Amino acid sequence: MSEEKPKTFVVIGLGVFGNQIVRNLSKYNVDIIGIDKDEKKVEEVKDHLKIAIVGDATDTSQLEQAGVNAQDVDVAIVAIGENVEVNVYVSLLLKELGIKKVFSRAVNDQHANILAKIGVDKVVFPEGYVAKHLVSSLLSPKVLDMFSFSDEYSVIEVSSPKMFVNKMLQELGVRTKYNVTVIGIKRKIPIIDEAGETDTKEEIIFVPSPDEEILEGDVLIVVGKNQDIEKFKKVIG
Amino acid sequence: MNQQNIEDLWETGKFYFLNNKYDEALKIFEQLLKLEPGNPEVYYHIGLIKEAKNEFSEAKKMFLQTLKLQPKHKNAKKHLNKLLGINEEVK
Repeated sequence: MSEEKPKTFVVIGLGVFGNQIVRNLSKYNVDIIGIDKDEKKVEEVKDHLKIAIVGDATDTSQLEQAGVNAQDVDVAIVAIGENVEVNVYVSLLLKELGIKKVFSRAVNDQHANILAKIGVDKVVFPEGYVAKHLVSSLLSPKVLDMFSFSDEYSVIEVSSPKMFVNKMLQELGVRTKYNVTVIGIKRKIPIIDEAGETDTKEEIIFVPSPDEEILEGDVLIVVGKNQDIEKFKKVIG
Repeated sequence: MNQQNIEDLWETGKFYFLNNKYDEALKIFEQLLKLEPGNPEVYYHIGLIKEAKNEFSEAKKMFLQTLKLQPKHKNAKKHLNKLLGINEEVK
């Protein structure tokens, strides 16, 4: 049986990271409880929150008042970054309250180890993630995005190189030559919008057929083993 | 060049762009840039072409210039935000 989709989230710490978590979550028709000591930070995202609390998340009674309990909250995200002790304490408190899933932000490896030991369900390391992506995009300008979905495999988004343009996928033989697979193509389609203005819209072709032709400006979504992805990145420049 | 010729250039440039002929469209809009250097729409269209060609840094410059000339240009703001990775809804 598949796991039920989480519906209620609590985000503790509404700084830059917590703010972005709330904004992104709010696109998915879920209920969000937001808590921060700083009124201004709460104010910035209050339109996206079902319950907005200016308060101290280390105080169990304030958490309970906000409706943070095992029955009503599916996922808690501890986004506090500036104070490691508070982050660990709140993560522990949420585990003790029996929240089904607790995701906590770590600021360094030591912090991540502590969070793992107290039993949080997932440790997120945004700075490390961003640094990895930034370095990758600086060293390989054609790589627009990448993520690893295991120690062995990664997905990258690459701007199609000139040598691929106006050629069909089967003609390029990406899989046989480089041992990686194009699983999607992002294509910008020029349009005239409802207001009569020139614009573009993005279309994604999932699992393109072998006779799909690569056009100028296409972004290829490529999956493969890490070592093959690295070789492919070198080929495309 | 008279107004009719300029309008013809606009139509031709947009026609090429809408038909994915980015290099041809760019040549037309570069001509328009010389004729109408203060028109934000010219910069916006060059920005769209550069973005479509994945020349993101040039595209950003063009959208910034569009906004310098017309700070409330909604589409230029939308495209610039996207290129900068800013997750902000343009109203």
